[in-house]
Amino acid sequence: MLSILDGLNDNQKEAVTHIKGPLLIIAGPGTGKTLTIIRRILYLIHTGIKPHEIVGLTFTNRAGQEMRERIDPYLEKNGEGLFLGTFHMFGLNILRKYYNRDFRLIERKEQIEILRSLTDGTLKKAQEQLNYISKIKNLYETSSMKDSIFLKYEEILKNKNALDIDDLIIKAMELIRTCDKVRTDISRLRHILIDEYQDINPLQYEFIRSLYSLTENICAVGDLDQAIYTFRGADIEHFLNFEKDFKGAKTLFLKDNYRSSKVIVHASQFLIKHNKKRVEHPLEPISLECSNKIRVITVNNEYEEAKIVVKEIENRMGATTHYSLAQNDFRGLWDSNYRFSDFAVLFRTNNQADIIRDAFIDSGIPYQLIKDVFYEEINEIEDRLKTYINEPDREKTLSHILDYAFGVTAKEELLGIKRNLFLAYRNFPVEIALKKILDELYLFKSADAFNINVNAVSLMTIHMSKGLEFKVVFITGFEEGLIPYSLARGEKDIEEERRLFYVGMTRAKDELFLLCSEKRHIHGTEKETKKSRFFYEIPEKFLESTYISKKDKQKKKPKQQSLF
Amino acid sequence: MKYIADLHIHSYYSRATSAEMTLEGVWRWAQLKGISVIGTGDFTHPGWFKEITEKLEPDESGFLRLINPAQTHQIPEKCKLSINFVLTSEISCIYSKKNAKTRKIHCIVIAPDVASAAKINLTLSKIGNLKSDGRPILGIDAKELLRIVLEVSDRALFVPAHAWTPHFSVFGAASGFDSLEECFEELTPHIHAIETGLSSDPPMNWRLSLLDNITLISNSDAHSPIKIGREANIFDTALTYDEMLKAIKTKKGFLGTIEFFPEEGKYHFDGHRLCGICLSPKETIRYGYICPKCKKKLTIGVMHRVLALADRENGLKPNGAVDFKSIIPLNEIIAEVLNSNPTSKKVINEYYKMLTLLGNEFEILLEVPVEEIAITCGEKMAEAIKRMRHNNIHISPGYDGEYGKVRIFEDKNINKLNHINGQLSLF
Repeated sequence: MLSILDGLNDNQKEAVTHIKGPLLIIAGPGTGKTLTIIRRILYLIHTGIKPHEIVGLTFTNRAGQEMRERIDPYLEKNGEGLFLGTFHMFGLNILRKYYNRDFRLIERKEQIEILRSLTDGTLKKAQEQLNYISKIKNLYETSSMKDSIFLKYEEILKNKNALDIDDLIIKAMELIRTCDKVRTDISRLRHILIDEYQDINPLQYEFIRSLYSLTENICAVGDLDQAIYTFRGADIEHFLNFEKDFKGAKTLFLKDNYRSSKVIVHASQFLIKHNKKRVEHPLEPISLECSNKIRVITVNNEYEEAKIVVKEIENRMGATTHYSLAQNDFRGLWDSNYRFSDFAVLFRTNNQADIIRDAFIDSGIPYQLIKDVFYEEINEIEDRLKTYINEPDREKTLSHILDYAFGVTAKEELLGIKRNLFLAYRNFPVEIALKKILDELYLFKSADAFNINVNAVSLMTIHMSKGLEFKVVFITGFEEGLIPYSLARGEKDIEEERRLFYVGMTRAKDELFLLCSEKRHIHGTEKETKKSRFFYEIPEKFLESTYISKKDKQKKKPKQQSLF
Repeated sequence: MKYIADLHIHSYYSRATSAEMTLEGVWRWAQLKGISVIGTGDFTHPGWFKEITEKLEPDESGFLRLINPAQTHQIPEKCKLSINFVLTSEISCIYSKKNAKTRKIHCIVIAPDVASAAKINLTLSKIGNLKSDGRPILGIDAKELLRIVLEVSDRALFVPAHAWTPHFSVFGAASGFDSLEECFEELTPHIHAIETGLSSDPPMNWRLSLLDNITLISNSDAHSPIKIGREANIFDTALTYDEMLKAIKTKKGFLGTIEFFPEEGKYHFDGHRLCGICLSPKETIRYGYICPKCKKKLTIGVMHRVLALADRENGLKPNGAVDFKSIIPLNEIIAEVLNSNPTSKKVINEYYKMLTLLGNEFEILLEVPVEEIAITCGEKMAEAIKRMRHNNIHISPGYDGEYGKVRIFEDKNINKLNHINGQLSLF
């Protein structure tokens, strides 16, 4: 039996065992955050807290699932009742139990239809209004909830006995606040854990407060330097105000970075210190080895950029085909210790994905491209699944049903989800599995498409890389306009872009590549680019700059100064 | 009945493969070579699989036949042969077990019917991209691939491809294993055969007692039509899929293989192609596995690997081992006789002429009496084929991707074959 504190450092031990009252754990990248959360839960159970008295709220379904998988082996059958999942899932669980029994979840396309009927009928206007309503809900702007469009929309939903995704939190919160039965029942809760606290929005904050009124044992875990969702309404003030908001709160730091090389930790620290809005905290690499510098490679265009990435991967994997073996010089590259899944290619916008993907198709190297939510396909998959619910006599296995439902798509990302769903629910009775799968799909977020078990190079936006780690990371489009993104205005936005880039950098364990293209096609026209301003915020001693020109195919290594 | 089979080729959907590797092209060339059973190759590729399902149809033998054979006139009367296709594909598994070193294992999958192949494709399409290459790269463990194949059909067969080549094989020096068990663990009993590859021949494989119960098969891995059948298998069974598979699994009805001279293979010896350094295993050890020219690690070839894993003396033939015949492709023989290039017009014209007069390539290489060859094609050609049949030739061994160089007639610069073998036995 594992001793709960085995292998933890002193900071982590303190974070695990401090279980009375509000606690904020500041966990920088690679500091063993998930491990600490898991051990904390095990420790709570060890001290006599029952699993169903603990709630762990995560930012993505994936994070919840990962914790589940890591914690289950220790709990055996005792894990029953322990909640680990998103705010939405937690809200949905409460509603399924206490809200009127027949409510249904409303799809985006139906929301749009409702709003078209309430506005001028155009799609554009309806989408705008939908975003507006969702914004009001997520920012919990109670004053705007009196707007006529909002009231009308809510009225229609009420008549349809339907809830939208944001209602999962709002209505659950209302139940907790107003319904004695729910309060009594939920007051069993003794410990609340919130992951990624830097990314919570005002609605989630309100929700937490209503839980806090039941138990004062609240533990928030996060890292302000990794807050990257303010554009979606997240508010970093909650993180900054934690001690004020929760009386008697204690703040602890996890300071040892186990993930990244010395160079990567130090360079990223220098960068992030340019932000003014932050909580100063120490972060030190555990690794003492003299490590590779960060490679900054400038190329002619985005096609060359993609090719360099493929080439650098081959330089580490060795040849992947007889053909490339014959075409290239692999002398001395005899054995390798890499897997495809050790590499990630990150980009700021989804527009950059296609050219990179094509280079991978050309090379034959397996990849998984994690893109934005595939609303339409998922809607169709849901429709197909529902046909089974309405006809319970259809004798089928879960595997058959999923094959049929996902038959509408060939997208590898979605097929990965299918696999995950199958693995998660194969031991459930089919009817229950179906309901759970429908709930999961409804709450589907794009980051959940990432399948950690697939041995392939990951291609994704920096946003989606949060929480992941790779031996070798390529950040492409390291240019003004992309990093920071051209829509960033003012210091507040630039700070968020800097945090985003910081998240990207700190995904790397051993090696980090920053690629800039001298020219790039933006909306169809080729434009000259400038190297990202963040380049100049990282001390020179951590960088090795290379210029690769297509014309002379020669590698020049200009002195840093010449770039100014 | 007696027939020849080549179970590993590639279509024009594979990287660096001739545009002539169409179903019609393969059908025609199998006849020129004298191969009755030929793999389709690449059935995992969606485009090629579509062609297979449209242009071929199964018959009661379990093999597939070309529905609309065109261009019959281009096949000499003496070569005409009924061609049976069998669904095959090669998959490149690149992975690491428990985060240890990178493994790169090429595997041949033989499917009993279109439905099974489709099922395998469906499963694999969820794991990786099958569209990039006729020989797809998947990030899965070779053992998992074997499990997938077994789950689809017990009539399918999984064979480790060119088992000794350094970079992409189960015993390869760079990224392979020391035993089948290490790779396939509890599924090892489902490995009935390995493909020996161009750079090894049966006697080299006989030196490993761990292969005594494994059938040693040989295929061409052809990327262009002229190379079809450069290695192949000889069966004597009823001409059906199940009987052929049974012969591979039991060696009953498996008469043996037609082999490249292993020295001619691209990875027989050690060395560096770009440094022009070719070394015997013994020399490599003397140099400490480092290239004397560039001072980087040498590419370790097949002979070296066989010797490293061998537990038996050279020259011993284990019980149950089957025969083999070593050949030089006919166009290479013609090239030497005519003092020309193996793919030159002159050589190809002579090739067709010989096929028209004497029969298919395997008949010419293995069966047609030398006297008859002398009458139709001259004394020198007859002498060349006679020498090949008696293994009386000279080869400087291949290394690090460079084919070995074969000379049938005297060449002072090239060691006699016997001499090379003698040198190796010192090791």
